[in-house]
Amino acid sequence: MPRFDGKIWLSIYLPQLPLEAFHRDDIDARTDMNPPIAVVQNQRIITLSNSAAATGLTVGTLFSQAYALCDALICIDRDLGKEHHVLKHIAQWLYRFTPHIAIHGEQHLILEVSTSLTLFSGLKNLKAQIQEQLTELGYQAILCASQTPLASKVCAELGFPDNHHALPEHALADRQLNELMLPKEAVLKLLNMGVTTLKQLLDLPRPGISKRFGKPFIEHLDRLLGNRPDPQDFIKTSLEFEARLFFLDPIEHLQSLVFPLKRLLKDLSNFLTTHQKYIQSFVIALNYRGKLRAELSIKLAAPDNDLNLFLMLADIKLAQIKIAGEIDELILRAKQFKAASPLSKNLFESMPQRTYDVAPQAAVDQQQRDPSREKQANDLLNLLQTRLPVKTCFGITLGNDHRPEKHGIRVDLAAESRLTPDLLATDWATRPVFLFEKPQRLEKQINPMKHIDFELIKGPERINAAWWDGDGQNRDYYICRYKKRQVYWLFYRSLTHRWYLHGLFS
Amino acid sequence: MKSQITDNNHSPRSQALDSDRAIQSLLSHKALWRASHTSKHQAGYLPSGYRRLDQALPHNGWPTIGTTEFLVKQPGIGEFQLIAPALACLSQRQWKWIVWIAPPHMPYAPALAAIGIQLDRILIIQPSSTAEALWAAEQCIKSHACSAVLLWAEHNTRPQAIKRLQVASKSTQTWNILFREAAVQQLPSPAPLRIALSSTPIATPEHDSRQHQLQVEIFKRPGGWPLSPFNLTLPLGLDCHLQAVTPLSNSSNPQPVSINEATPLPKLAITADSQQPLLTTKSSFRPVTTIS
Repeated sequence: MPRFDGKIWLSIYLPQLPLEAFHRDDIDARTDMNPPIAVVQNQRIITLSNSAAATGLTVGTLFSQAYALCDALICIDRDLGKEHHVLKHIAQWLYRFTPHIAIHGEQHLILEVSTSLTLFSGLKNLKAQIQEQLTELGYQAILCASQTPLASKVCAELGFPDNHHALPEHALADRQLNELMLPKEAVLKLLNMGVTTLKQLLDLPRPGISKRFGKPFIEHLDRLLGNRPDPQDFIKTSLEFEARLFFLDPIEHLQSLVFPLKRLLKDLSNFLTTHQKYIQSFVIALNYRGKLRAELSIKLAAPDNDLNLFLMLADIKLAQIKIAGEIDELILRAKQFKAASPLSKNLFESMPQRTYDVAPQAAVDQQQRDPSREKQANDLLNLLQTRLPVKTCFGITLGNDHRPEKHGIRVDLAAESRLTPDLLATDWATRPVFLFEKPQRLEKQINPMKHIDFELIKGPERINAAWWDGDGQNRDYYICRYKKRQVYWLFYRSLTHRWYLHGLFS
Repeated sequence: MKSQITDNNHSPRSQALDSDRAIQSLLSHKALWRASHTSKHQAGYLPSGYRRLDQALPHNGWPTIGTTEFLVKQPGIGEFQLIAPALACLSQRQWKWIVWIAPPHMPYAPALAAIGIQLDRILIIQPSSTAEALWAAEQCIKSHACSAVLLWAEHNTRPQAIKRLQVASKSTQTWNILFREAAVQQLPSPAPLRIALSSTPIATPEHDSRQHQLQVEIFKRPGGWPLSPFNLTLPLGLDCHLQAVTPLSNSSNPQPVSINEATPLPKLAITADSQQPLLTTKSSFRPVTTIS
């Protein structure tokens, strides 16, 4: 005898998914503003948009026939891959309601919601919220709760009312066998035998059914009724975010991408809120017919989840690209997430901080941690890094190496790399303020030690090569004044017997 | 005539009152600059670390608000040493960026660290055009997140652009330092403080060969007439730098303010005294050997 295990399975059926993968009607717009669209599989229409259905077309029509009936119709071939993307995206989005979400088949999502009922004040409320928010996102959904995953799937697809209070065998007792997603040949045989409802089937002796219709049939039946466990493959919270928007009419003016982009960024911001994550970089890809046209990579100075910041930076980036041509798909991707940190470390931010008798460095550290100041610094960095070309905006730090080129190095100014590393060796000999990116070789005949324009100030300082990484150069460094004005940092390389300028004192 | 008689309000007494009030409101206006208000020391001015220079500068120090223009014949004559102590002080005092826009070469971290500048506060921007450089400078100044913005300006920078920077840096209390070519000295500029620098050969035979000698000409300054050029001896790097700053605090003459006194933080000029081994002036260059 099946027993209720306390689990409530909610199935979400997306009947319009093949269409919604390409196009979601704008809820605010009037019906006649939306183009008539049909999704076609094997030359037959499988899904129609509202405005297409209004023209009198029906599902199952040959698409050539449909063109004859409605010449404005846009026919699209079904794209299962795209549908799966959307399904995955919705599943991730549903994570705010329950952690137990499984993708079932091509158009179903199955949720286990018994643990979320208290939080959302009952199943009715929960269903209403999911329904409402999915509609807002532009998806049409049919929801139904049941005691087993399969039963809920069946009920949602057929639009039955919730039946999670009754055992499936009672709830579905009067249903026709061909509605229950049982193997088709077996159902046909049963119909020929005169068995049409589930109740009639269950009245038959079980060993006989098993013998006649085989093990898969009886297992399916058991799973449907809850006699046999039906483990679901729950999705894991993805560590990636990907949202796509497809445009039926290719877009030429980049400025018209702003609103679709806003939709995607809003999705991203919601995703981050749900998962309590911050993000430091994201990528916006502009595609045309599956080929990448342009890619905007946006890096933030510090992890954040602020929608307005994302919008501003994306807007700046968008204004920078100059591509001629059309765009028909917008993809927003984000990969590396960071745990969200509380906005403000002080509970009462406006209160002046008590001044302790602390060492000066500690006072600076205190200031350093001031969140509003940090925010200002990061905002500036975000703006500069987004507007200016890549790698033209950077910081410097001490490298853990004695060679001049590696002693002072560029660093990325992301918040965590800004910390100065612990140095094994520090070298505080006099160093020039400016270092040439590449040493400049002097003319062969010039020897600064003997030349009249050069005046030796200090030197030599021998800087040995690093034998361990194959950099076999010994250099003798000198500080020389040139023509009584500039002071250069020069070195003599014994390997080539040549002199090089390497830095400038200022 | 008739109107004068009938109109009682324009008696000489009330006229005097009116004008007095008008003058008072004018005097209380913030934008009005009065020569009598230039005191010797004032907040927002940072000692340069060089006594002779402090005496010449208005308020005895660098104005850390507004635009300061340096006209340099060629880079590398010691112009950075002039502002280095003040920048070190700014970087240690508050967590704000010190932005370098379009420097002639790559700033070298070890040298800056040796001067005492906090490296994590340094932001370098290498713009590809003049417009981009000016845009970046303006954004940095307006952001309230920078204590100093150093801009190596192209020769074709227009006075209007400098005016924008000057106004912005005044309102956000940011120090905007412009390095320009000496050729623009004759052209007008909205910067309140303009200084021309040129290197002079060191005359005395027994000079310390480690120093720069600069001829400093402050030809425009707020609250004073242009000064005749004077010579200033600058240290080359770290070890001489200590000499330049420390004697000031010990000097009996109270007029110049050393950095140590002006700022609330001790150990300002150099933080290296305890943590890092300093090279003494006597020691010769120590060869950095990695393996013998």
